[in-house]
Amino acid sequence: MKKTLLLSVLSVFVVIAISFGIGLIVGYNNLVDLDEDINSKYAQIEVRLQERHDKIGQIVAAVQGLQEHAEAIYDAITSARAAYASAITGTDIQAIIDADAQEAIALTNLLAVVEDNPLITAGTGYYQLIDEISSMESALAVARRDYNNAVQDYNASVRKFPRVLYAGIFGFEKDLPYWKMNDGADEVPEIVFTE
Amino acid sequence: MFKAAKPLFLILIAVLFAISYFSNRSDYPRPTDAYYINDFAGVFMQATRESIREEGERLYEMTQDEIDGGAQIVIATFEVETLSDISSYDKTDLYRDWKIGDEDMGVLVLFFFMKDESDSLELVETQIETGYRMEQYLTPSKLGTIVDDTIYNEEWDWFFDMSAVKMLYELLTELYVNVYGYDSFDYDMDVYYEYLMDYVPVADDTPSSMSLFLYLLSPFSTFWEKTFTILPYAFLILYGGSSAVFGNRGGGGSSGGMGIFRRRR
Repeated sequence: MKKTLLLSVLSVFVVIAISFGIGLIVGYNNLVDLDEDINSKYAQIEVRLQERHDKIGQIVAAVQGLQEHAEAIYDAITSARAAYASAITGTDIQAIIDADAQEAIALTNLLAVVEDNPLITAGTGYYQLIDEISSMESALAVARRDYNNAVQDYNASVRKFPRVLYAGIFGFEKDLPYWKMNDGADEVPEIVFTE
Repeated sequence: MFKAAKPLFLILIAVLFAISYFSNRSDYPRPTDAYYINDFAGVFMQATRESIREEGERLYEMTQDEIDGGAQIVIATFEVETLSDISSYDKTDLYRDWKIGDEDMGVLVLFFFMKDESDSLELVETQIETGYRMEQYLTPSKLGTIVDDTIYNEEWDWFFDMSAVKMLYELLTELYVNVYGYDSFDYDMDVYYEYLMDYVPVADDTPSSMSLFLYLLSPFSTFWEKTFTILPYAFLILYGGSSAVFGNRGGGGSSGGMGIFRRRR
């Protein structure tokens, strides 16, 4: 009788231990997947930021005499591009987010100068340029949104029971920062063609 | 034994179907069976819908074995009450929902219509989304030029079917010639106009038989019919013949917001 009881208790413990082990493995793997998802979304933002960085360079080169009649904007663009070039070589995400915002504002101001220049807007290339910029900003907005969704999934998962118990032990961060930009810098410039 | 298992089997199928249906629900309408044309605003003639579907199927089949193949062009029309209603449609979300193109080689074209004073539908905005891999071939400036030269061109301004099909042909030309290396993609809009004028519409209201799925769930089918019909279809679905069962479907592609927005210039 005693032997049967001991065996039953032992079986229960074994079942609990196996369940816990399986839960641990599944939970750990799930966190790794979520973490990798963030990495891939971050890589996507980097690609889009680089595209915009290159595009701004092309626009500045195409807008003849920009430095002469809009020196302040030219300076803002130059410093935004320098900030991005410096941030992208490091690992500080906040510095990249700030550089992203700086470039977005510089681009909006640059567009305002371009729109006011009839020599540029009269050309057919103007509409192509606007399509490229609008599309690029839209893609960047999507990349930021995807990244933030991935961070949200990760943060929610890492703080849930029972993962909260062992996430720290395995070195998973508990509150990853979102890609937040202030002053509407992350809004896609609305470009409407009118008759 | 079989008698007892029969209702359980049916309940199991119904529950699985309900779970899969409700877990996959999204804010957007599901694509139509034709997949390549989703005329929710009801603006196209039947002949145009047929042409768009056929060209879509042909492109998908002919490019399957090419590098960056399996391209799909999907067109959808929506009716909105105000311009601000358009913002409730996110072209990237819709593209991802409909999973257009193999390996992200897809194009989604959205046309938004609004009723004017005379109660007729007027095109108010065109949006195009390209899949991740398609971005390198159909750049926003290329798409903008195609849309301006077709949809917003005075030539067929009075006949939306013609301008939309011309846009489709231009997109196809770009893909067949510049992406897949075909010598040319020839089309003649005058011939297409004649085709539209001569087309005899097929009545949509002909009675259709109960769908296979409903028949299998209904008491009209026997247990053996149910078993022996489901098994081959399950086999087909598992081994890549799903289009034979469900009609046209997306290739599983995704996109990242590249494309254009265009209101009338």
